Amino acid sequence: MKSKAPLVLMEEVIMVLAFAFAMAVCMKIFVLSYDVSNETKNASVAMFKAQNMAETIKRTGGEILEEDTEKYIYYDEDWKESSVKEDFYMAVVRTEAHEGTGRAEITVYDGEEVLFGIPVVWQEVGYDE
Amino acid sequence: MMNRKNASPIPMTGGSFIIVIFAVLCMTVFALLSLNTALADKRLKDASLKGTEAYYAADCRAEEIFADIRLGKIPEEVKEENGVYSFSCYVSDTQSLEVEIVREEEGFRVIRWQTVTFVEYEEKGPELWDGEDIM
Repeated sequence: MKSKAPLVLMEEVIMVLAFAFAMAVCMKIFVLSYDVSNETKNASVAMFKAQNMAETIKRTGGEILEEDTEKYIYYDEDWKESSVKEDFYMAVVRTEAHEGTGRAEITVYDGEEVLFGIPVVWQEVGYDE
Repeated sequence: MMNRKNASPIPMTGGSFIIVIFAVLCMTVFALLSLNTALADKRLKDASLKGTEAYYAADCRAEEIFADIRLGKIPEEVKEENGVYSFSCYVSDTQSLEVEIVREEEGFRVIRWQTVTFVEYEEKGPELWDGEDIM
């Protein structure tokens, strides 16, 4: 009588291949989810950093910017402020003077890519009519 | 008649098929759930970013109007009543930034700088017992 062992072996091989294919697709979806999550987290942190900076500038009337027209703030990969330039995140505050107001543009970057940016305007002292 | 001891055993086919189908199904469900959560977070982040950008654009516009008032150039959209200047800046279709500034001897003072939502939401609370007898 003919043995059925090759049939079983063939089934096992097909199942292993099917499992490998399905896992490859699932892994791709997991990696995509991780990337989307990471991108979301970074954009949210960038927004909070820009917002904090905007409110600090408004509260202090632009004093923290001193005389600089451009101020750079560097962050490491965990969004902790760093004194040296790193290849991760960076916030740039560009200021301009206008009559009666101070203006700045806060932009947060991830390398070259812009994560978030907002303008901020505050009242300069001594311009009252 | 064939001897039972010499008969070949029935091969156990199909067991691995069921296990693989179950494992693949579980992994697919987990993967799709994680992707769904990530996309929901992304939608929330997009809305949050859009709202913050809109707020700061309105805030800047309000600061510019405030600066004009301080410089004595009163824009058209500003209403003045008893030394109180009031105006509003568009934030979104459902929100505006309402500002009130009062002129005092020592200068101008902001008395209101508030985001106001002007869409009325219909309350759909749970049906609560109003105190009447049930029976």
